[in-house]
Amino acid sequence: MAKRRRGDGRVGEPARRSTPWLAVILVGVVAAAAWSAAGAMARRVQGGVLPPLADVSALPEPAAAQVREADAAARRASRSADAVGSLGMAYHASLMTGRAVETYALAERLDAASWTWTYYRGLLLEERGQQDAALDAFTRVTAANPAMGMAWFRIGEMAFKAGRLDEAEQAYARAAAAPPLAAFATAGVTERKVVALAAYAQMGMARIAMDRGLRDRARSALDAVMAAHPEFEPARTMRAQLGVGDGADQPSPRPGRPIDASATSQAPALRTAGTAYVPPADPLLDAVVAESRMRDMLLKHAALAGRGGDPGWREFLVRRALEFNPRDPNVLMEMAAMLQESGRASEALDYLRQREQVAPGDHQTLVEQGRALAVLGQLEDAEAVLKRAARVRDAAAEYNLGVVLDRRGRLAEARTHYARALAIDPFYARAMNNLGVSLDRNGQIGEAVAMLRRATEADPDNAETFSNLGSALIGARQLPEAIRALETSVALDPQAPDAHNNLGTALAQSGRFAEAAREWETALRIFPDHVNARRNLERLAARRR
Amino acid sequence: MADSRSEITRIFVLVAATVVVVVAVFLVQAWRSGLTVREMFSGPPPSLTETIESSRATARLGERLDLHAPRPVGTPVAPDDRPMIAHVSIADLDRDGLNDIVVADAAANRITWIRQAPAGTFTESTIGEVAGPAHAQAVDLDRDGDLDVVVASLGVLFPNNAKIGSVIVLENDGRQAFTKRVLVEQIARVSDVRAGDLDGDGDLDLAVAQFGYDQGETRWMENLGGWTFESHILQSLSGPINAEMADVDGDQDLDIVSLVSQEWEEIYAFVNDGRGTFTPKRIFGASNEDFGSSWITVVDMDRDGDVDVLYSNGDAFDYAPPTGRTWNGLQWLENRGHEFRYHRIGDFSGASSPQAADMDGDGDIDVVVVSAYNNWERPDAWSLAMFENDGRMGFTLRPIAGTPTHLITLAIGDLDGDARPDLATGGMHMSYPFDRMSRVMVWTSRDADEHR
Repeated sequence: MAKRRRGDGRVGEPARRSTPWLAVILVGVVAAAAWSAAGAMARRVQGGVLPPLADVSALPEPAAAQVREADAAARRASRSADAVGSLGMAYHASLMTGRAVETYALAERLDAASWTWTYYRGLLLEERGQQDAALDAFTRVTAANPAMGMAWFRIGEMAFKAGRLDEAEQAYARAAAAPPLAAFATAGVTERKVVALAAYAQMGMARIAMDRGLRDRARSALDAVMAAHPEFEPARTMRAQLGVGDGADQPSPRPGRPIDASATSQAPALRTAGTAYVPPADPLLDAVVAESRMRDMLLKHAALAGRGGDPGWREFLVRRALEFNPRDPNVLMEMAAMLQESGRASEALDYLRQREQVAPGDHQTLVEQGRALAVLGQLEDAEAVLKRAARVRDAAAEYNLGVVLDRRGRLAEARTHYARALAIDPFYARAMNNLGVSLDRNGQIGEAVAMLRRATEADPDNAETFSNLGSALIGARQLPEAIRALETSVALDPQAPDAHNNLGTALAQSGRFAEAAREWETALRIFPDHVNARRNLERLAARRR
Repeated sequence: MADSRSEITRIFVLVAATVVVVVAVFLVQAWRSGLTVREMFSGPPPSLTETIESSRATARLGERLDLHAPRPVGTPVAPDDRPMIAHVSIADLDRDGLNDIVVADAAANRITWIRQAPAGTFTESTIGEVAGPAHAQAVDLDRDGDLDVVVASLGVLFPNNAKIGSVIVLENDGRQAFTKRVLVEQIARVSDVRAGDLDGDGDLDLAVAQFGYDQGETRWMENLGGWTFESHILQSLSGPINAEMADVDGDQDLDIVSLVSQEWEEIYAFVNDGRGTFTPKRIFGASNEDFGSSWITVVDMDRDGDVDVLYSNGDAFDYAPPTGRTWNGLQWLENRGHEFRYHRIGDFSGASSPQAADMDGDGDIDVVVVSAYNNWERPDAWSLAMFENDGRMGFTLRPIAGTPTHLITLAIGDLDGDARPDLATGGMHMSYPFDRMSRVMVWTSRDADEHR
């Protein structure tokens, strides 16, 4: 047996020589199989096979096409995190939140080193109120990129909401110290106006101080933010709120609001610009918004840009909304509003007429048309349109009709419509102001004074109304109150020449000539062609001679 | 023997080499994929699975519910009307055994009473002129045996910073003649007021939410007797919508739960020590400053004996288009003693005024909700729906109606005396389209109608 084995061995020598090759082949085959199996397992775990294209039938066609194109591109490169992430952005931009979250998660697995997709996923989870999952995402982002200030800020916000103040404070501090990100820019947007993230982070720290009951520290922090970022209105608003309630501090006066001599609508679209909170500009989010074809996303960010004083970005977004939604009544209204605010009433009117075609019977469209026509001086047409609008019981329609009739010299009719506006909205300060002025002109001084007093109570920040009240009080020979009203007016708007002129008149009639002269001189300095101020000074000079 | 060992060694080497190669292959693949080998074998990491699941976390869509017969009640809507009903509540105001509806009509600046008499016949009359009424609660505030109406007055519905809010009581003389009493005025716009004994002295005090605009407040008003109330400021944040009273900590006194909207998007519990001293505690906050908080209702959602918070986010009045947001919906905050835990119920565009009741009689709490903001051109834009509880706090969305549109307020009560929950809704028509308007509607159980 042994010989035979040996003999076999001898006979088998060539076989022994081939054994290494067989072994290598065997190992190679096993390795190839393992490679293939491991790859398949990895793809399964990664979700390397994209889920089927979502049902996009409910999307407007431009947005549906965008998703289809991104899906096709992702399928061509399904191992590419960028391709899959871009599909996530397309879902995100099309407001398909669930699918976007899912797709971003797939992209994250394809490129574990990239934090961008994690950040986008966090944004969507945060939007839906899923704070814990969002916090996890942003924490991953900061682990991968500790300089990502926006993620720190969002962590701070969520920790604060959850009452973890120490954690929030640390995150806000990191956000404040993070290198600033350049604002998102795209073709057609020449300039972005955004508030630095540090201002928001410092406001967050002020809120932590408030939560801890350290109101003085909160006030100091907000004062510092306001000094460093005077354009940052939310800090001013919060600072004012700190003064409410305990009476320890009075809010610092707001800067005077621009006097709007034209008719102003109170159309319920919506909060007007001013002090409404605007979140910090986020370049990554803006990149999604800029690609969106969805009305809702574009108009939301246009509204934020409008409030935040970022007109270039706003116009880009509204025009993009119009490009993909040319017959949408909301887009047409927004386009008109934007044009009207920038003094392009004629173009605005065109869009308002288009809106009337797609949204017949909407009285707000008619009110805005009336305003545009009035700005253009087409008062007869404005009156006709506003009368149609006033068929609906609407304070803005009545008020604007009153303004147009005022301008057409039909003062009694105007007063009727101001009064109707006030019957609908008892606190319509502009209607009170205009009615008060009209009553004053009509010689009904007592009623004028009463109405203008109401107007100043309803809108205590309006310099013009205080000036009108002061003027009426001069007519009523109530000089001390007139002086007080006019001093309030010039404090609210130091650059209003009429208020200075009227204050000069009230002071002169009270025998305070030197002070009166100073006010008239101020009026002339602001507006050198102010005829009344010049005449008053000349009369005073003549009197002194 | 040596050959045999050599053979074994060769086999061992071959197997070892194969194993090493396989392991190496898996390591390389794992490295290429950004995974650990363990993850490759165990499937997606839990956090990813949870992420994907949570992104889908919303109620299932069930079949449309056809259990309610709707009909308008009160003053009919003319084509040029734009109804703005801010609040409806169901109460037997005249105590004749038939439930009525109390209405806060912000378009007409008045509180009306839609009286049911005889059964099934509803007649509307004005019981008080109030500027911008936002909320009206029928309660015997003076404890004289009849129901008065406590009213939150915004002054005007639209944003305004002026101090034009007030708290008003329409005092019932027992014969349903009401005298208007102003309890406080010239304060930031008042959006909600509720009555309850907050200081344990046996009379009814008030919890007040003042939305304001830039400057709002939450306060409680201590009843000093003789229609005199002393205000105590609890918080100075803009945007409070609700100030509900409930015993959230189970210590047998009433606490205040407030919803603060605007950019804060927070819910607070002001925990009472029983004598009117309150400690604020933030029980939820969304860091999405545009979350759109619209209403809270304090109710024992899971029937475990403590009160939870039912919470809607559906406000879309902030900017155009006023058509709802993708993140709008409903959630409930589970009272776990030391904390409240967030649970999403489901998505619902423009969700407002959620109310809880066992609508289907299966012993668990369902949720009915209205929508004021939706894409009304779409056939699947619902203005009224129920989230049906499966008994395990899993919910199925059961649409009820898409017409009328723009419903902002909802009350549940028994309007037809069959002991089953009926609904009353109010329409807020501030934006286009205006082709399916309503003021006040009642939605009575269809089964009940059939029995009748």
